Amino acid sequence: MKKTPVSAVHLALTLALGLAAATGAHAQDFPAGKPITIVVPFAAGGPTDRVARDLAEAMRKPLDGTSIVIDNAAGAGSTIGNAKVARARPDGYTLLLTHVGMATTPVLYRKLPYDYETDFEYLGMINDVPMTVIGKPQLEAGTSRNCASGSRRTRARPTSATRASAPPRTCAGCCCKASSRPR
Amino acid sequence: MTTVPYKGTAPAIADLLGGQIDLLCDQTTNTTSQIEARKVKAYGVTTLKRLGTPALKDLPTLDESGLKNFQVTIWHGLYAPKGTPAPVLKKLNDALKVALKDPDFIRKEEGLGAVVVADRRVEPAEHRKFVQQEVARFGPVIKAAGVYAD
Repeated sequence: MKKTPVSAVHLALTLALGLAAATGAHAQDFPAGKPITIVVPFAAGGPTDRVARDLAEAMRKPLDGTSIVIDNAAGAGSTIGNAKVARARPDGYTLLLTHVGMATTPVLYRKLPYDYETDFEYLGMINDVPMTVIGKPQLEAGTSRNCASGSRRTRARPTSATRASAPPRTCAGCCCKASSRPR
Repeated sequence: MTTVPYKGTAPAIADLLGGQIDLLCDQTTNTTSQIEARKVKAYGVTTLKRLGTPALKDLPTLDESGLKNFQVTIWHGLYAPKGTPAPVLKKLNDALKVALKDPDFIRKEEGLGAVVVADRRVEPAEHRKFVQQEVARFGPVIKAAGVYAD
């Protein structure tokens, strides 16, 4: 039998209504046994990945034991992973766990494929991870005061003083910029 | 001082241990074990209060070392795509709050020198406000430095 346009419309409507009902039911029953994916915009094994894996374990129980998987979507200073979540289906099964880069990338990147203010629902903050200033084992200066003045007043061979900034590069960079210009 | 951008923490710490670079500013997550093993010299922490982690508790803050009000942390937050239904967001935020009180999670975080959020920033609206404040704080520093990633 040939399908009429009316039956096609009817079918589409039925599907749409069914989908709406399913979505509504999902919101109430969430997570309904379905796995949740937490996108981490950094490599596996890194510090943010570690926070995500430990948090996933702790959130599993209050979410009825549903499994939580980590998706490491690293690259472009976390903006690839952030964009991935901004574009994901907004059903609660795709989340983003990222760090202070959420606040530095909007300035560090003059063009971003998402808006940090309007493309995300904020769920809450997890932790504060302090930074430490550390030196090579052979470094002469013994305290941070010496370390800071050493670099400024030609104490600990300042011309050879090189300071590395590890990711989040931006923050280490800020740390160092700020250290020469205390706020 | 010469700033050397590294692709990752692992090579940066390797070069610090090897003496190719002098100083490194990095998260406690990566540095605590090195400090504990006395493989590197530790000079200060970027929080306003000294830390409770045994290996780090004697480290002075940069604030008390002369850089007044210096405070930088690598905080972490949890987000969902815009439009996620409110009941789902509520369940996720409730689960987050339970997780942040989980003694096992707190113990793991403390071991890394991290401080689990126990204030109102665990609330979505408060966290949003905090992120906006951070953008306002870092923005001028980044612009003044004229360093962009793109």
